[in-house]
Amino acid sequence: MTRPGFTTILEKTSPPMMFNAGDGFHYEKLPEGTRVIYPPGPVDPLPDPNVAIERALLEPMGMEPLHELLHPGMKLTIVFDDVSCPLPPMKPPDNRQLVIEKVLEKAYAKGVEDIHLIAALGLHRRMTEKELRWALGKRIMSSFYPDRLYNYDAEDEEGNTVIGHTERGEEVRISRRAAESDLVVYVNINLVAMNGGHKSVHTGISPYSSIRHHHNAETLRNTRSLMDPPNSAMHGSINRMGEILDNAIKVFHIETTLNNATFPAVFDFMAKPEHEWGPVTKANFLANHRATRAMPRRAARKVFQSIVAPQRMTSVQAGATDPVHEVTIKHLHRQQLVPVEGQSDVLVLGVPYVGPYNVNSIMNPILVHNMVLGYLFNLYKGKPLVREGGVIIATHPVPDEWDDVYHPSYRPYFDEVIAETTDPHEGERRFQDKYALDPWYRTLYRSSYAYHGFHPFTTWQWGAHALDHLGGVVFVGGDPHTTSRMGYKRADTVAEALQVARPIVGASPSITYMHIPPLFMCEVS
Amino acid sequence: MLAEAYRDKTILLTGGTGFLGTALVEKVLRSLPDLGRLYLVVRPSKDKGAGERFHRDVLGSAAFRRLREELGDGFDDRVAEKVRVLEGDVHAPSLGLGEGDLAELSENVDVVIHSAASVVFDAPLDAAVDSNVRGTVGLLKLARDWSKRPLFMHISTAYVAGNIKGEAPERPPGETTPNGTVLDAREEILGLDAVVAEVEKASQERGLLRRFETEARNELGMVGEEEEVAARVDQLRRAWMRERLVERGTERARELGWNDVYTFTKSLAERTVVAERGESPLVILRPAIIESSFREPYPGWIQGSRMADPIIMAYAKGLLREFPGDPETLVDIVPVDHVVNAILAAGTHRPETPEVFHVASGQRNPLRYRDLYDHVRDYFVENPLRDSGGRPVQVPEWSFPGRGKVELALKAQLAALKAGGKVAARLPDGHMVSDARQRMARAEKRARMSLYYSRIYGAYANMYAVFSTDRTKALYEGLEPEDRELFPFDISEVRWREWLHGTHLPALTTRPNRKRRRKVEEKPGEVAAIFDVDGTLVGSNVVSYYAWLRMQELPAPVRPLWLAAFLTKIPYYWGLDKVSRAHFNRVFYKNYAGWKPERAKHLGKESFAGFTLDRIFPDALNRLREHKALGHRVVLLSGALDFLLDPMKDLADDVLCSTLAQENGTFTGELSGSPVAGDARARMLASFARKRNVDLSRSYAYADAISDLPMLEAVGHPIAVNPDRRLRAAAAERGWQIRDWGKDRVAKKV
Repeated sequence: MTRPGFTTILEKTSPPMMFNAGDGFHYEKLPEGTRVIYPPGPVDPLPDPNVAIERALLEPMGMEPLHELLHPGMKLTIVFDDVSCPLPPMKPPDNRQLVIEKVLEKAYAKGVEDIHLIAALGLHRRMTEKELRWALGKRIMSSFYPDRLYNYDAEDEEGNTVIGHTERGEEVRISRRAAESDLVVYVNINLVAMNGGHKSVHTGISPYSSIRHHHNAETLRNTRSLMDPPNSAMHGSINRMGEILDNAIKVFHIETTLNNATFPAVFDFMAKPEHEWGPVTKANFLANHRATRAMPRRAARKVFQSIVAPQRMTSVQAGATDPVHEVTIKHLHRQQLVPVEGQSDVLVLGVPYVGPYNVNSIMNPILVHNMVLGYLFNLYKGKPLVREGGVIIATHPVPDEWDDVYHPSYRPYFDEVIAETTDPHEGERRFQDKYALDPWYRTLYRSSYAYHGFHPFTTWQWGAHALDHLGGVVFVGGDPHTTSRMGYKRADTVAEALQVARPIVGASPSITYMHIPPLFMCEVS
Repeated sequence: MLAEAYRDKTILLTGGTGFLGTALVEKVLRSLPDLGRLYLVVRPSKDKGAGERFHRDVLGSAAFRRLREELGDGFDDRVAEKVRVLEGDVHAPSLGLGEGDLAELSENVDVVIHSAASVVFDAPLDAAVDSNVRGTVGLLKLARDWSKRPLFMHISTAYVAGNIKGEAPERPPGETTPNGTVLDAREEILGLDAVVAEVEKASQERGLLRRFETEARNELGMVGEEEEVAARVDQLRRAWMRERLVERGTERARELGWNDVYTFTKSLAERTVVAERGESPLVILRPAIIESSFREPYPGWIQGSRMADPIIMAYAKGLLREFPGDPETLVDIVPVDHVVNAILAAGTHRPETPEVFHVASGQRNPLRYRDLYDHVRDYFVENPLRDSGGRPVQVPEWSFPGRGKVELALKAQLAALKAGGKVAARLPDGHMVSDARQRMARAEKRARMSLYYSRIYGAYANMYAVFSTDRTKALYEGLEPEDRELFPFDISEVRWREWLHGTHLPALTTRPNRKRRRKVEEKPGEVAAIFDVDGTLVGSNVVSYYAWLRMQELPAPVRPLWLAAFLTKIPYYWGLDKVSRAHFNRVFYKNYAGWKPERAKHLGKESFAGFTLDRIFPDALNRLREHKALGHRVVLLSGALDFLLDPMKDLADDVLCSTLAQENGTFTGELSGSPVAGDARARMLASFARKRNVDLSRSYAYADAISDLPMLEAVGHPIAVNPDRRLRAAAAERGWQIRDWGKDRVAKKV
């Protein structure tokens, strides 16, 4: 039986807390009375994933079994999640490999020949050959790459086609290959509740002209929260598109979930509550802490990027999009949901080194904003963990560092847009099309490994709800230049950050430390 | 009184939009106020209807300035009252008119003045016959049945006399040609039709079509799509036909004693008119060379370039170094107002047998080439033309060595140039070679032009016919004194030197440049920004790309070995490139023989992230995006291969580059089309600009190597980027912008 997530209140004698802080750590004693929420322990994995996959395909929800949907001469397209999940990359075989090998096995058995595999990257960067091999394994690569296994291209006009418009006039345009297929099999790894379901197709294999209807400042401001689809305006728009899609093409959805065994044994301190640390764990942490501080950031980053998660599959379900996703969410909640009583004035967060958009790369200031205000803030069901007008204190150096290959539009966005306005609406209105349609960003997106020119807008907009809600954000250890440009404060320690937050939340605020990673969600009552 | 004679009479005029026609319309409106009506058959042009054409081209002419001033607000009323424009076409059956119009003409017309003709001396045979013979006969056949049996006045040319010596009488054509051959006009026309059919058939011959296709492909290169190639092939075929038909027409004309197809077909028209006139009274009026007006509507009014003018201008521009004529021969010029007046005077006749009038100067007031040369030379020595740099052009001194000698010298010069050109073509495309080529091209153009003039006009300058004007003189003298004042055409009144210096030459040299005027009216073309790729946008070259691609193909341990072997060839390639970029491309691309296109495409895509991205010049990129933001058409023009440039296609609106030929699913190592280098690049650009309506004079081009010089020269704003030594010198000399774009990286791999 897995240990459930739990809450402790710090006492005078409690040990200092460790925080993730980008490519390093932070270690500080928090005030007495601080509430610390720990994630649940890893859920037991499926005893045999292959058997579970087989069963899911044989007994799908709301749809015929897969083998009955396959016939010779058909056009089959298998679409799979891109490099943005799982985080960190999981130890092979990846869920996608396991599932797709099974699907292919069935397709071969039924004599299906016209099969394409598409990495559903939407407006993310292309996956490298190495990353594809990591996710899919050698066998699939050698049979399909590069002619029939490729990255989705949102900027290929020929390669995308309109399949309809929603009743609100939103254009639904998706990959032509998928639209013209007799069957689309979508293979997900669902790391958080936000992803999967209809969002898969409508962001994974859709171009900017469609995505902008749900990924914009207005919908994201009204998304409470992103991680709680029924209360998300973004998901409302996506579900409208989903109806159009269901009428136009047949999608067989396969979703899988993972447990949160995120870190290998050498980083055991991350998953273990501090009060359980023995001397060895503590020594290990301090050694790592010191080493990452002594190392140049690049070297530290390399170390972190080498982490491979020993995550295991906890569920797999297949069939029609909606019923499948409902079950998936249940499995996610089983692993991730921690019930919490009441909001607090201050929420303290450790910011991990990796988010969905900086796999094998740098988490630049915009992505730090996205991580804290978009991702972590939204890990709630019901009410946010921090009260309206409260303060987030996050530990991250927010260095002025950028990856010009993967994120070429981010630095200009920071220098041009954020320098002018941090208001997502204004940024969108004044600058978005210029970036989204820029020929150089299009070229880099299509031919290099760059996120789309529009991407910094959406990552900033993710924070729209949090920006409305919060009274302030303080970055512990944050770069003064980057934090101030984004409209945030900085401090050297959490204690100092609390001083900085004092004008907003008073001298003795209630404090909650959400002890991440691994990721989990709070159901706040 | 002529004015009285035309009271309530009706004239039908064809060719009313031409030089003579315009003058005629003006004179009729001004001096025959009691005329019943003037019908004009006007052919609609591509973009203008007949009415608009008349109002803009005819009434818009400077010829009407005087009448507008005289009549003031009454001008439009006069026009509306007297003129009726019929939209039609002299070449079409029934003039292309409706029954109503025809009935109206049939009922009213008293005089038909047929002045429409093709005055192109070297027109292709079919066009010349159509417009000069068939058009005339068609009109005559209509007119002879009209109720008033109108006078048919056929405007011909004095030069139908052909190559004869001595007096050419004012008499209808006989049964023989100028050299005494017996000629049946009807049979001759059938024979000419057969020639046209034969040439048309020959043009469809398969070998010939293949040649056109090769030529079209070479010319269009990467720009050409299939339909465009097909259209170009047809164009080439037509051009070929046209050339043959010009040749055949001239050949036949000379065989029979005429100079050219113009005078030949005009004579055929006269002959047919005489034969077909039936009961109609017929007047044939033969002007010599019609030039600017002597007196009316104002001295020196002229429109278009008349026959003698191109030669005069070519001389004034210093292009015609020697004249292929006998200085003692007559240059038979008449002012346009004399011709108009003679027409109106003769138009009152209704002769039983055909009457002929020469409107010419040779007999009563001769002007010889030597005199013309003296007058013209004196004028341009005093008033020289200026070249584009504002320097006066020196006019040459002619020694009149005779046509034979002139042509012989020109031919020798052309032969030498041709031989030189062949040598130059074999030389690789280097800088000096292209310079020499340009000089040769200019010399060749000059020689060709001289030879052309010699062929076309030389015959006129070796004419020994003297056009008798006794009947015309009698016609003039038969006028009442008032009419002689109002409608003068006594050629002896003209003082050639005064007319040339005071009227004609100033009119020739000061009139607005037609070409320039037309250009302004055109829809302005787009501005383009043309970027060379290797060395300008990306710090790389053909060789390093190949090396990178090749390395991807090899297992890692072998790569250094391959590279070491490959490096030994670099000096050879380097040397080759210094001599000629085009030659180098051709040789180097052989390395790709045997490659699979799909694999190349995949590697090409990978090369962007793996190779190109690291080498892109950020300044170049910024400049490119600035052009894009300004709405310019961004064009990549490169000798690089298509699959390498494919990933960059989103940066540009167009990519013009090299492609490798394929056979059985592999590259042969040959380029399909010519290498995109040197002059070929400039040609490709020019053809591209024409097709996409790009205004090169307002466009920008960026390039780095001397081989790009022709392309840079083709645009209004050339910019030399990180230029090699020779391009730097060339750019400095021409005052072009030189940019040294930093080589820092756009992006570095993490």
